[in-house]
Amino acid sequence: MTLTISKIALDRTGFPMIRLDEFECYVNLYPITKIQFEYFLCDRVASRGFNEAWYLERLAANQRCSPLQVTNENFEQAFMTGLLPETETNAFGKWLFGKEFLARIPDVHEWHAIYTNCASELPIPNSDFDEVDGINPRALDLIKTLDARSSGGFANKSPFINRPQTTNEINRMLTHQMLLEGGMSEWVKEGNNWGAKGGAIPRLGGQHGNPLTEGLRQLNQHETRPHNVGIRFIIQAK
Amino acid sequence: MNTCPKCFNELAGNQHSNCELGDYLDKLSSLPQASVMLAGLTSHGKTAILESLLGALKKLSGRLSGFSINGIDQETIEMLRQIPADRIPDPTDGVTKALVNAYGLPIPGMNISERRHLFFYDPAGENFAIGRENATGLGPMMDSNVIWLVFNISNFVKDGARTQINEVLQSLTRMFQVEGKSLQGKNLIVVYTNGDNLVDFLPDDDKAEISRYLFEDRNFGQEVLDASPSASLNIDFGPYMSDAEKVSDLLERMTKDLQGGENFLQQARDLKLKLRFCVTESIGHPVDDGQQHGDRIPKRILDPLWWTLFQQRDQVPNQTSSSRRIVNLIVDANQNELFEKGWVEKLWKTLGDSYRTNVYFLGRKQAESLHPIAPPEIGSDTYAGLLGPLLSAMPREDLVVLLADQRVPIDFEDFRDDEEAIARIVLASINHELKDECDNTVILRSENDLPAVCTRLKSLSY
Repeated sequence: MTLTISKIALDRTGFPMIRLDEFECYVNLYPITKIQFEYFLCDRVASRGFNEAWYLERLAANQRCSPLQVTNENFEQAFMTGLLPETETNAFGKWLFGKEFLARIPDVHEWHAIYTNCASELPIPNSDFDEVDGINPRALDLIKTLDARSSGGFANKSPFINRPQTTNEINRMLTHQMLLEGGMSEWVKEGNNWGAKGGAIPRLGGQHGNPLTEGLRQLNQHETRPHNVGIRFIIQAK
Repeated sequence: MNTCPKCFNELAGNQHSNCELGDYLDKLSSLPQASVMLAGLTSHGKTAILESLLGALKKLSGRLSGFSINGIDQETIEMLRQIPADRIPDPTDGVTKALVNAYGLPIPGMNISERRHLFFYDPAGENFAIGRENATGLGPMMDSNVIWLVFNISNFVKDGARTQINEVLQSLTRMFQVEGKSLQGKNLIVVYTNGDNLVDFLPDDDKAEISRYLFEDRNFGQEVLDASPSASLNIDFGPYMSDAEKVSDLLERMTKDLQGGENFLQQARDLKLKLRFCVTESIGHPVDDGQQHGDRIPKRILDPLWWTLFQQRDQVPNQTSSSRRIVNLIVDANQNELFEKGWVEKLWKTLGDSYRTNVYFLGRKQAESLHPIAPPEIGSDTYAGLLGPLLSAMPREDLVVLLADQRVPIDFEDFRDDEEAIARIVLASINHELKDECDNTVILRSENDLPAVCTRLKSLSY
């Protein structure tokens, strides 16, 4: 079954989420960006315990990059990394999506399902995002620079999925646009274990293996704050 | 009935346009004002809110430095004289109005107090009943700056929710259409009255929050306003509006759970209404058979007015002091030297000569009080030095002066790279090393350099 993109929604920071009809849920278009997390930091009630010193430590491990300065060599700097996958991501997810929604990090099966579906879909045109009322201008900047990045030949045709061929954007699929492939690793859960998934580029610790069959990259949630692992939420109405 | 389109007084048989009061109000229209139309069904408490609000303003006159009010017309003068009201008002027949001249009125969200005319129009609730929208004749008051949509949630429940909350908004929308006007983009404040009973309709988590909010008002609570001897009030509107905003969010969630609530919110979004929610208590004790027992003990009765003034700060002003451009002075509260050496106060005063100036702190999202100018009490915690969330909370036409010492905000690069964003920002720094951070940088070595900030602001093409 193929994925149908029927709707782009926005979170409270004005960043896009994509509706996945098959799962009756939304997922973040990208892993969570530093910009989104910064809105959270400015809500001092919700973000108690995440002060400036804490944030500067995260930035020391993965420095910040303005959306308009994103390139192939630094794009991971646009994204929030170094979060502990349960306590910290939960606090942020609750704030970002509110009480009405259940936001969680996908488990490995969900991540595979999202990947498989998006791999056979074409990217969403930038003009569709331009038309979304209330979208954050910095999100639009990021969409455009990331688009230029992956359209510029970075995204290789994946050997793992059968895809339709298009004349204009050969090989570039929704998985690339969403950075599920050719991006960075993301936290996912398998049973009680946390690990990383994603078609990450080698510079960010990825391998050229099949993300659908290769195992979870194991990480120790209590001792490490990996600077190259991001987060992405699945969001469902309660 | 032939009424004056300006003041809604009944016109004499030979009059066809404004009456004398209407002509007078016409002259006032060039001065800063806030006009409010109270909307809502019969017996939901519109007039009681108005009376209790005027009562609170009257008490505030003796306590808030420089603040006083008087009635513009005879009806308001009489209403103010009779306040505090000792009975529940009868249902309004026609239009109850209060036309108030307020001096030294603090404007939340801005660091100014100024003279404002406050016009409150309270038409009979039957105008808003379903099916009555075609017979309004209320057209002119629909041009009010703000609409207060007044709901007594107990009435909805008592009626078995025969009338759903969204139906009142539909009715209001049709009233506007009948008059050839549009609700689109209006400031609309949902005022839940009978707040003492409202808590019964909240989930447990929120009950305590609303009760605390209603009963613990250290700024405008009855105990403060009735204190004897009267103490001079020094209100910090930053935290006050921050609290009010949290309550607004909570009430919005509650509204969603009411019958018709989701539709109401969807309609409001479709109409792009600038929506806020507040909770008030006009009477303060149970009412039996329409009888009021004892003096009123209103709670948070000024909140609808503070929200009205707060929302107005986003509008392009048109006259006198209001006509000056708004400049938001943003300060990194973690850099104590800016405060200790008086740079914040000096720059604020310099800007204030030419602009309406608000002060904000990085890492927060609301305008700060300026009495005294000091960094926020943040204890051992620190606010992240972030500009983006703050800028996105400001109207895009506002100019921005960023006062910095050792560093620029963590996310400054996002705006330095954005031509449109940087075109409205001047960076004023007491640290020479920041001179190349952006094209619009002014280095402050001494007080003589302060006027250069205004000069640079005037040169912005934005």
